[in-house]
Amino acid sequence: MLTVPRPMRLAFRSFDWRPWALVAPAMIVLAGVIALPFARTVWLAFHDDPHGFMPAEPGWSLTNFRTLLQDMAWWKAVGTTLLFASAAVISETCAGLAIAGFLQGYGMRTRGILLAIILLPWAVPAVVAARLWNWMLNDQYGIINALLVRAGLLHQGGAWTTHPRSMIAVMVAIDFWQATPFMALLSLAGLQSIPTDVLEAARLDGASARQRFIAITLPLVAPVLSIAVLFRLLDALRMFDLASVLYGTDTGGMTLSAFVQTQIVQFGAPGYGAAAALGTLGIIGLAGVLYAMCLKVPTWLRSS
Amino acid sequence: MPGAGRLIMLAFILLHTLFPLYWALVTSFRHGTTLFSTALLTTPDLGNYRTVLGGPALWRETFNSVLCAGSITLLSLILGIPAAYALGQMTFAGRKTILVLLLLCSMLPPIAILSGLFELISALGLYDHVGSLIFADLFFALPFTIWLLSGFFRDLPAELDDAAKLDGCGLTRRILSIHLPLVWPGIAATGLLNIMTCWNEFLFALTFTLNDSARTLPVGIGLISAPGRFELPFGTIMAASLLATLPPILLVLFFQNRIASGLTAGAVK
Repeated sequence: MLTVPRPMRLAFRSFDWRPWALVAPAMIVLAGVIALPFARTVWLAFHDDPHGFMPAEPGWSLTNFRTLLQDMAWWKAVGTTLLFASAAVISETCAGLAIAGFLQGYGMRTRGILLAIILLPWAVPAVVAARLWNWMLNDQYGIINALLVRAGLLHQGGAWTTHPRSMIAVMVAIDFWQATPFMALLSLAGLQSIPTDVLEAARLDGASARQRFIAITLPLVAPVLSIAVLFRLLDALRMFDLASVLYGTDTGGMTLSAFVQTQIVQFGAPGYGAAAALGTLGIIGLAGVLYAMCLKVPTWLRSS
Repeated sequence: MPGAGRLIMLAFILLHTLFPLYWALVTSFRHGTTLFSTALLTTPDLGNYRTVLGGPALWRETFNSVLCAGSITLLSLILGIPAAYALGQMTFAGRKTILVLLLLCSMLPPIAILSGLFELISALGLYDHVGSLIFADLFFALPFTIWLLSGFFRDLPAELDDAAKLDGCGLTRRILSIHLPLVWPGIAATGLLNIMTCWNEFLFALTFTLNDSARTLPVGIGLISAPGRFELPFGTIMAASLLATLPPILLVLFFQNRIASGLTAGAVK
């Protein structure tokens, strides 16, 4: 049966369709779930939004972005989000690294049990964590105020969740409770990838614990840790649950995600919300680039 | 570190980790004026649990949460495993591009698609249905599943595939009977992480549901408010919260190793 011309058969054979057949179903679903809604979000952002669950006006326009630039609530949300994310990520990374170093001192079995316990807050839904801490921080009946007053650290209980100065700190504290386990787990994975003989050799050469940490542990943990920090940073910059459950539509503790969701759901402004979402995306992208540049600083310092 | 320092640090870590959960338990046993008590011990009183379990709300929300987490995990595995196999075990032009796109997708914050998704879900008639959440949650579950599993597939030796091919084993059979059993730990880790993320998901669940009938547990707990002006609802909130937190906590306690390996694989691979 040599009816099929040779070149054509070769051409047909050289293209392997099988990987594409395996990837296609997932790609089609992703196109529907991500690409299509994202394209629509971009379209909505560039169309004048009359607010109040009304359809967008025809014609492309930049009105949403102009309004956004003058929206004080938006800029406040930008500040809140950046402050929250940097405070949360820095404190969680330091504590996670410390806990990982601490856990390394235990044998396999004990470490496994401790790790399971430490991971518990990470498993708690953020909504539950927010309600729980909101109750513990209640100005009149909260246990934290009661313990602080009993210990003589405070004369009178603080109104943690209503005072503008402490509203962001409360979110950081709850996020710290929930996300430090994640950072500890990943730091531990990084620490365990360090060959022990390197540290042992440094110790025998007379390097102090601090020198060993700075010159050996930190650079060797850095590849794993820097990716963990990036994940955590992106996660913190999109934080919604805590802000929404603790403060609702109160601008005092509103993050960017909460701002966008409020615009879309409470004010019926999907277009304005879309513009704010693109603004948020820009800020997150900028933060990511800034973070990547910060990672390069040690290499520059060494080379110069 | 000297022994005493270690013990103090251990005590501090455990106290910080467990005290909030303990206090939730204490609060869930209290009601009325006993809620104002700051005594650290209490006698167990299951009244709040009876109230919460006696009404239909918690049962309905649990059903919705189970339905959501179950279908999304299943769907993302069914769609994700073939794709992950292709990306992890086969070489083809466009493989890198797809991996980069997947990584970008998993970095996209959910609010970036919220406006468009809201319209799409309304247009599909899914608004205020559990179906809207199953649709929306694929946004994070599917890219995450493919990304993580393709790493597990990549770690398998290529000789395995070649040997089976020489023996005349077809692609479908190679995936199902040779690779699937070997990446089983990865599939378990991915599934567990997906279940937990869906169980805890709040933004989509709050945005796309309106009535009690489609609510999941986090939304239900987020919206519990005081039944009367002079009554504090914290006892019932904590009872419902602890019940909702029980499944993820049990998963962590039983499958700590799998979950830990999935989380680290996500950052290392």
